[in-house]
Amino acid sequence: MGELQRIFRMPRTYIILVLLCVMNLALFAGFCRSQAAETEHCATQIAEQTAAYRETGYHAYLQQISGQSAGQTLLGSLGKQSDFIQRNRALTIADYEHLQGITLEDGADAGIEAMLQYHITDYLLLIAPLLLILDLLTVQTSACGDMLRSTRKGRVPLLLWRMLAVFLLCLLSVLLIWGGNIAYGHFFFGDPVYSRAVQSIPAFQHCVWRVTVGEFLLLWGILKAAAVFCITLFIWLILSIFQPVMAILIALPALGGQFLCYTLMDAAAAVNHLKYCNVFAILESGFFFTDYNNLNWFGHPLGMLASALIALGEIFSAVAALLILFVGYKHPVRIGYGVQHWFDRLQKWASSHFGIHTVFAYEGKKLLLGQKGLLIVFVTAAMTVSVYQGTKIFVPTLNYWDEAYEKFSGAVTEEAMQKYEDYLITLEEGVQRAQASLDKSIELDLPESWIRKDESRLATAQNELEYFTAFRAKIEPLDTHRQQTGQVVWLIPQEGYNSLFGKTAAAERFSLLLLLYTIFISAGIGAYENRFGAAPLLRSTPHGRLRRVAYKGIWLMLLVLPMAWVLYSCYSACVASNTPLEYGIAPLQSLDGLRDFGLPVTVDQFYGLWMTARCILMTLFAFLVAVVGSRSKNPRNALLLCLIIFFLPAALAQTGVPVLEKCSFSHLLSLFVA
Amino acid sequence: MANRLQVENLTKRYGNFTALDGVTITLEQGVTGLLGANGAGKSTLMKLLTDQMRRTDGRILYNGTEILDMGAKWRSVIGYTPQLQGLYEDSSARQFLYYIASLKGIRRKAAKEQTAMLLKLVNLEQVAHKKIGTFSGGMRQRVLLAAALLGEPQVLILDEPTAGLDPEERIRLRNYITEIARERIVLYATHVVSDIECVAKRVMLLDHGTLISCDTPEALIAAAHGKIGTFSGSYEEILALQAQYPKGEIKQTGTGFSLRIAARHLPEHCTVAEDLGLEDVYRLLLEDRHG
Repeated sequence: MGELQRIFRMPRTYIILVLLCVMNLALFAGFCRSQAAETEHCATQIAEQTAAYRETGYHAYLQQISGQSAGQTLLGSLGKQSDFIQRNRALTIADYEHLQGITLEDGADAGIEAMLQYHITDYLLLIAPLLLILDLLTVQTSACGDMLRSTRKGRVPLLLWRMLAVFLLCLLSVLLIWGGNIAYGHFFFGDPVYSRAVQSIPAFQHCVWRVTVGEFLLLWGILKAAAVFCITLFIWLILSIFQPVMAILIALPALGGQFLCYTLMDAAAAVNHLKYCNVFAILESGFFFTDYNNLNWFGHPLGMLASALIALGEIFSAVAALLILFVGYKHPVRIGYGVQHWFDRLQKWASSHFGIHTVFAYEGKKLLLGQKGLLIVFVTAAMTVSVYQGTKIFVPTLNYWDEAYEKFSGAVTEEAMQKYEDYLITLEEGVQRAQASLDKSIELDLPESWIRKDESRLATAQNELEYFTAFRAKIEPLDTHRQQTGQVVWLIPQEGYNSLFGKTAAAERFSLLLLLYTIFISAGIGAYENRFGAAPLLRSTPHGRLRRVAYKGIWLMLLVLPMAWVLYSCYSACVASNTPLEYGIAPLQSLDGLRDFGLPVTVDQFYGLWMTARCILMTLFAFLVAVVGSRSKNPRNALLLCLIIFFLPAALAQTGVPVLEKCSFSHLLSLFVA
Repeated sequence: MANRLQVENLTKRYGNFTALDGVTITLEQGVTGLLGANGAGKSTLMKLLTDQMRRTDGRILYNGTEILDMGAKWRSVIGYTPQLQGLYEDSSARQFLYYIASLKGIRRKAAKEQTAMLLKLVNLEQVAHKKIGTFSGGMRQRVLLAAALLGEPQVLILDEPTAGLDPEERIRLRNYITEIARERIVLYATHVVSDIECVAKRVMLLDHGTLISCDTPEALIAAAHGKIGTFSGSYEEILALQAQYPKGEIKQTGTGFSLRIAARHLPEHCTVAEDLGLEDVYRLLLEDRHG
């Protein structure tokens, strides 16, 4: 009990949970907004489809199933295929039978659907329990661990209390972090009506459980907690009983293999059991409720979830038993000395042949390897790819304006204005001609279809005239600017550039990712030195003061500056993929928000300067983070401190509260100008 | 020109608390032992000598030049082992020594040679590739000592260098220090009086920031002669006498108990001790200052 109290009285546990919660909420909020933007233009269509599904579509589907066992797609191969198909058909009909007569109700579906598609939360759930495991391992292998093991309850009972603590933390993580998604989905998309049947949401058409939305969420949460607990226990076991190198050699293929099976394996593969009887499948688990598939176990069909739960139970039992045996009951076991020995020999050879001999290289090594900088770079790069693929920037435009830009874009000179006026006259004439044609058709009493055609032609001409007249609001200020200042500016589509230079650039996930990366890279620099207490020794050497600090600064710059450039450029590429930014040679003043900008530069030149300024600003920010982090003696605490000070406001600002945007570093550092 | 490190009126105050009070001393080639209880000001003196903190008053001159004016040049002359074992636990011993060598500006070839030699000296050759995090306290101390010796410094400042070492390592280290101190200034701070007894040419005694004595061990011991006594008796008698001499050391002998005390005027029934050591001197000086 004392161990439980010790663990749950550590403020750091809660700080980590709150931070993860906010971080996840920020990312989920961004995802929900992009989802909403994506479906906004076809909202009516979706609503109609959903209504049709609830009224007739779902029941027709049930009828179809009872008739021919539709929905069955998986064909595993453990057992005779013909037996399996027959049994599977019977099982499918039985599974769906009790759903007959189910009442489907209305409610906001989008929140739940967004949760089904959003998987980053699943991996964030692992962080707090894994950090606790690392703490427990530190105690376990220290002198304190030996002392604890020498007490009456210091072995199995202590281990069981620790396992309970880990389980409770898994539950707490799911409740706070994943629960945050439910709350945000409810707040952003509306009440999903928790008491209605889960099949009311079209995504759950294939679900065979007669559960409400609330019950489904509860089950889903429990499955996630179980998967997180199982993965955490496995890592605990591996790190406890194996030498470090051996532990990596075992954990990487075991977990990486499961992850790859889950993500890459085809659902209809012969050994699809590996895809579903997998901790990562259970961690995500949403598809267990949205898809209907039975696995072929030696000719007998068994549902995916049932199969996965049996596998999870077996993994858990084995891991828990081994933990109790090797960590709790027996004297501490360490396996893998042979592998470690060979690794040591390799290290010995490498360190005597390739030893580093410059302060600059050492500082880089400390940052990249000691402080896991290399890992942070790789993770950020992977996340950048994922965010880049998932980012869609919607720039609303009107068809006629596209046409107008096509006709009149370019330098707004007197001739261009005249061309515009002439075009308006042409359009007016067109309207008159269409009107005359319509009048004539009516007068001649031509067939109805001819008249309708003329009416349509007139409406089109009038619309075109209306839009092109409204376009004057775009072109006239540019002409006025020319007359007042003598500077010829261009007519260019503004929307893309507004997305590029405007506030959205600050709110984008790339900015948040960059902020996170910079904090992770720089927060621990000073704390790393403080932790080992090496400063007095280093400071007593000739190059251990200014030069050492300067080299650290250079390394920090080398790591932050290019990443800032890459991430900011990724955002620009996302904008450019939606709206061609092809007016780079236009004077900057052509943009509405930058009309009064003092320097005579083109849009492209300004973009280059602006990006450079942002990257330099981000590097300066990295130095600030390093200074703040160096107040701590522990890199992990330094990171927490810096996340609270520098990241939390930016993450909270993602919820769209304007006050929070003012203290968001993501906004300040993005330097939005438009 | 012979090495000479002069400390003049060195004072360090933290607000109203005086950590070091007007210490004046001249250190020359050979080992100077620095003895003092916890909080006596040993580490403060060492930090001031290595320019780790700002002094309140006084001067430190190396061969006549103020060390603050020497800056990095002074730091290239010294080798320092701090009391706290400040080592990168995720680095191997060899890598750590290479790193310190680079910070000391030692060239690659020389760094490699010196590192190999020092690893052999401190008996870490076989585990040089292993992470320092896996080392025992004694092994870490040896890594620190090797780091201090890199670059053949002219002034060695050693704060508790033998902490955590086993008797064999202690002897080996003391012998090495004796050898290198023939041409260098070595300031050796410790609680372990026997370490200093073996190697120190001179001994400094610090108490509450004040230098209470500085002389050769022989002179200090001679001055203490007749002021150290032993009283034998029952345990109750010993306890009664210890109440008057709280710094007295109780020992169990074959026949009973004895109490070894230090005082300017020994009680009548005490036997004057002949086998004096620095520990007795230290006890006597403390007795003099604090009664």
